[in-house]
Amino acid sequence: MQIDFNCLMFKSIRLRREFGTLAKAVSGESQSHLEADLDRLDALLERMKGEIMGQVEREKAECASMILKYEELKDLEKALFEMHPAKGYMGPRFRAIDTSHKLPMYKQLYEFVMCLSGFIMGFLNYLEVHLDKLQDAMHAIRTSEKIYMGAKAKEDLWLLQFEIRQLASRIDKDLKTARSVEVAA
Amino acid sequence: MEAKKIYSDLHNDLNILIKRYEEAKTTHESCKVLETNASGGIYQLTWLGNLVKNNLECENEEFDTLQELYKRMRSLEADMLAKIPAGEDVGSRYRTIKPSAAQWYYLEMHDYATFLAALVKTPAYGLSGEFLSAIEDIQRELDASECRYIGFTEKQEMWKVAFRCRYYVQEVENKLQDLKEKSVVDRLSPEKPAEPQRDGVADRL
Repeated sequence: MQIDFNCLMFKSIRLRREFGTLAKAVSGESQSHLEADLDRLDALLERMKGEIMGQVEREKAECASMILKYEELKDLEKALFEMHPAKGYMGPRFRAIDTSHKLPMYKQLYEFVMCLSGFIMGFLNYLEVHLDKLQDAMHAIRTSEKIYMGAKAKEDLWLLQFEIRQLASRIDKDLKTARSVEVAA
Repeated sequence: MEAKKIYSDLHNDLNILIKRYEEAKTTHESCKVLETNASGGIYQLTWLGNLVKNNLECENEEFDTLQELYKRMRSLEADMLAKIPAGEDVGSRYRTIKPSAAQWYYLEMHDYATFLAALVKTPAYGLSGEFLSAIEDIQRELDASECRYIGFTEKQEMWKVAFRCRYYVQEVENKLQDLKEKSVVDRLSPEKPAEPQRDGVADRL
């Protein structure tokens, strides 16, 4: 589930507007208190925006690094297939990987690594040095996938979202109290 | 390329070759190399079939595990929401997760677990540490399940067998081609003088 940043942003705008209409009716101390809360709310939203943008950038960077890894694997595939004297025996070459959808891309990269290591294990046991290389590639893909999925960053975003919701609720409550005071007056 | 696809492609190749091998056997009575390679191919294909079957069974089991974990998370979420003081804004409930392609399914499940962990870690909601250990258990099980799903060793083995099988298929193909060329050469070579016809009567004399 994506965090609905726009919804939180609209909430903040509505609260700021409401505060504007009530500002005269609110006492000086409450006014500065509410104003400070609204400023804090804006700052938290700004932080959230920065973190969302950061996550998008990290995803882009991971995608680019995995495309490079794919190129390395293709070179290795070419070298391995040429090392085997019976080139015709290998069946079709591994299909091209679709890099447009990031998550399936990881799955295809895993398959590619497995295909190459299966090839080495089936025919070229003396080339075990390449198996180590493939284990490293597998580790890199797995790490990259974790970064891409960004569990820690996502948890931080959810925490920030709950903090924003609480602060917005408190401001809303304070504004309601101020309005009821104004109506009573 | 999926294991099932590799298997079905090889199965088709091998079926055609076995048919041609049987035909070739009638004209070239015994051809040990041909026979060895064909039976080697069949053996590897049977092995590959078993690996594919096991792998599919494992994936089905993993799918059931995920369904079970999802149920646990839904019930945990309901318990958490019931404990959160009235008036606290937690936003909407996490949307329903529909089972989908395994990798997307894992991503959604991880997201859901992350959402629940953040809910427990927000002090204002006053949720107890028991919820946190429950969600951490689920996260660990999710990780383990995902590793099993990726099944590096099993898939490596499948590719290994598939390559060996294709090797035998190609060997049979090459041998059949040799035999075909040989029979063309035999037909084109100058005819040997015909042996004298043996008359049954003359023989008896």
